Amino acid sequence: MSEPVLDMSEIIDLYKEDARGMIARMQDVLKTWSGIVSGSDARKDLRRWSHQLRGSGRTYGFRSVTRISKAIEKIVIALESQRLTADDRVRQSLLRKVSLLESVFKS
Amino acid sequence: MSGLVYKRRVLVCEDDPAMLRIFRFLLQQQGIGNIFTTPKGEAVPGIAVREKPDLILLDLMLPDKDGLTVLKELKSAPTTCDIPVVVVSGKESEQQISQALEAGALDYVIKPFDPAEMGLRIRNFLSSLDAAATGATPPDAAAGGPL
Repeated sequence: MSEPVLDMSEIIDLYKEDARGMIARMQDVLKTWSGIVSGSDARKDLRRWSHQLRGSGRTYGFRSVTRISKAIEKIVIALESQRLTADDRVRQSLLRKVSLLESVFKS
Repeated sequence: MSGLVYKRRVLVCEDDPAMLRIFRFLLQQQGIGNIFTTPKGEAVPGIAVREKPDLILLDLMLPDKDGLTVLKELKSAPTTCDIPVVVVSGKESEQQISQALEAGALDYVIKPFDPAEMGLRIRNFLSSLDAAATGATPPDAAAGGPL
């Protein structure tokens, strides 16, 4: 017996709205950058947002959101454990990834 | 929909509003009438004692407290040790899964998950509770042959 397909359309629009807000906050902390370098709340926030988007992305049907967010989270964890230095190369990489996330929710 | 399922009480501890929304959606799809939610791990034991949920869905990475600590607290208190807890977490290492199961979690679901599958897990679990309450054989057990 086949199960009915879940109609999640009513909550997907809300999700897109939430995700856009979260991505805008990610862009803000990356523009400032000093918080990421010093390991302040900004870095913790960036990790939390990327972790949340990783978990929610594919759950809501946005596989690429999970994939990109996972990459961002990995970079932030590497910064936290000092396996990576918070230099401009890392910043540009994070900005590119967040820009990709933004493009997912543009349409 | 079973009347018993409708009366079931579920507590969800999740700090991500998007995930909380999907849990609420899935639980409502299953006809669950009593859904309690909190983003704070610290609040879970108190709500569990007060509301006596039939099931707790617990995230591990919470802003105020580690979900594993919350799980251990629930399982060590006489008033909450029997409440089934399903951990739903983005933490996917074998060590973390083992720790949660050893601490008494009924199941461990890794985020992201397939919503339809999660809905079925919830339905099957609550159906098994109903079967236990009425003394009936759960559908899965009835369908299966002799072992």
